[in-house]
Amino acid sequence: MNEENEITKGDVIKDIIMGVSLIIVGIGCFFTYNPSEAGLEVGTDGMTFATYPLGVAVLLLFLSTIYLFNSFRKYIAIIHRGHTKISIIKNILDNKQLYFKRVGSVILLIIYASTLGKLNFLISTVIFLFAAFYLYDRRDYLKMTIISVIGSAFLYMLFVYFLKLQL
Amino acid sequence: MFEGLIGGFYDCLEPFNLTLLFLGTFLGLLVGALPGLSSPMAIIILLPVTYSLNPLPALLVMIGVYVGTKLGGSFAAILLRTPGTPASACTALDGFPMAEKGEAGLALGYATYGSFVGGLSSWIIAVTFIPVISAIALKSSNADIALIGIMGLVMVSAFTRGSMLKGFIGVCVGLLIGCMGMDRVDTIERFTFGSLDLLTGVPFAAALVGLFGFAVVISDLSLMKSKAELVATKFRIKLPTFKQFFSRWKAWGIGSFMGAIVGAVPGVGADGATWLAYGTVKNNSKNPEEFGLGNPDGVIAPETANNGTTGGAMVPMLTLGIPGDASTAIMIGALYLHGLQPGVTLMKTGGDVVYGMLAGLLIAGIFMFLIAMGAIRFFVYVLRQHRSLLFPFVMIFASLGAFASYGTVFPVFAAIFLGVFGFIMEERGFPVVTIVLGVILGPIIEFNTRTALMLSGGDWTTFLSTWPRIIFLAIIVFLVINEVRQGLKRQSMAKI
Repeated sequence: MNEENEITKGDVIKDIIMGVSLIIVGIGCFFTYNPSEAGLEVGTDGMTFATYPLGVAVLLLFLSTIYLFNSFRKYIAIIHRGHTKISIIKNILDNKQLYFKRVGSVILLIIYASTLGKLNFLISTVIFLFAAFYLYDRRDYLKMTIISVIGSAFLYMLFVYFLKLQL
Repeated sequence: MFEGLIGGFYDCLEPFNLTLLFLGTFLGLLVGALPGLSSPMAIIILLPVTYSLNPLPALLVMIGVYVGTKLGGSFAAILLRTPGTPASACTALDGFPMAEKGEAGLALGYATYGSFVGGLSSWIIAVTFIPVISAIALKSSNADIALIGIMGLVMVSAFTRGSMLKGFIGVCVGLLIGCMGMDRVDTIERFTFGSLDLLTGVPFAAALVGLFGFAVVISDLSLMKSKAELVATKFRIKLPTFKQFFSRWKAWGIGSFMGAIVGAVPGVGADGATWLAYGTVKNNSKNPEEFGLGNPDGVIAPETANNGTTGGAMVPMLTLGIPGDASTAIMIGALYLHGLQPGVTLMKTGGDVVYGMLAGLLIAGIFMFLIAMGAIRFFVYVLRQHRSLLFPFVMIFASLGAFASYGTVFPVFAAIFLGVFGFIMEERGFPVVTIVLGVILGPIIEFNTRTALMLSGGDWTTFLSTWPRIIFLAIIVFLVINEVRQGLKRQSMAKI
């Protein structure tokens, strides 16, 4: 009872979404386990190459169904207690800066990864560091520039000169 | 055993290795002091630096970080009431009130002593038990190895924080990720989605960097709001006298014992050990009402337990290939990345590395003590700096860790994907360490299960044919039934 008192409706909805997603992953395994469409030949161990992954997928489906069922049960309990306000949207709006930083960080990482091995490491790292500092609300441009340049030079020396990584 | 250990010390005392161990311990103390950055992340940061090193130096850096973060976490807990690592949360209960009373230096002194004693006690336990267990484990066959792997997964699911259901789901996800690529027995591709990059499976480095690096950064962006306000900034660590410290033998004795034992149980980790030690010492105290108000025993017990887990966690990691916590899971990954095969054969194939790591564990404990004494003001200075300067560098190190493992950008993209995925899983209470363990142990379990079945002509009773196997199975069945029973009990309680 105590546990459920602490859980908000928004949390339970997220749990339900997670449960459904996991079930979709479990079902998806049955369609993607054999991309080369190889024949299922039983070996001397009585198994095929598909036995183990599909066994795990079945276990995942079973556990995810229990998880989803539990989440629905909590949802119904919360509804019965009269907590009807959905707080997910409000939560996102309240924390929009944080979500912006998180999404921004992922986008920055993707862009940085795309430049690795193509653009000069020093240049791409300076740009990445400066952009990340800006994303994380720093506005002291001189300090940002100095740290970006010196930091990138240090990383360049460390990885390219000392550790001989091909960057 | 002694010859091996002496050889390990001999290797560790080479100037280059000693320097790396020192730097690793320093970095560990630094990272541990910063709330939000933990030991697994620090080891991930170092991953690209270790690629060009031999296995032992690479692992010594990691050992240094592992040991250093344990004490570093207490700096923030005592001075800021915000634990640097989850395991230090307990230390804040009495450490911060001591600091408020003007005894910050003494609280840090007790924490430093406690950490050192805890590390030393667990080192003795590790050195005693590892050769013995390894000798027994070497006789294991494929069926034993498969069962030990399954037992490890079940233990981690059962003992890790949160529900076992979530732990199991995390393990299943990890096992499926581990299935990606070419099947080792039939050499048929699975879950490759037509990608040539996935033919060799998801790179280890990508899984480690994504789940322990990017996921943590994305999560910890919420900690980046303001500068830390410390309760005290100008002080030195004030070590208690030996008499003062040893008169509190119950606190450090219980802490050391529980740290070593709990550390050896996969999945519980240092967080569980510290709370258990704190609770036990408090319950056995003549004045339990003094706890939470600045009782030194409340600092000593969790700190000895915290560092006590280091030696304990090494036991299943180095003998069975089952990590005790997230940091040792990454070290297992690092062993793979350096061409070693963790598990029951590690002592045979890489005995020098094992003994070198054990020697490094003790030396790192000594370094930890000395660095903390000498450089506390530097750590306090870093503790006051804004986190926005740090995270971009962490992301670069993590990206390069993934990139350098294959020399292509594919592992970096895989790591970013797994980072986002790991963040979402952690947010919903699925411990990412269970996913990583699934990735590491999955292929071992599948290969050994199939090999055992091939050798027995497809007869499944081979898994019940010896006493050790029956015991392993009994432990697995007991843990699962116990957890299901407790889950049903919790549900019926909720209905009342």
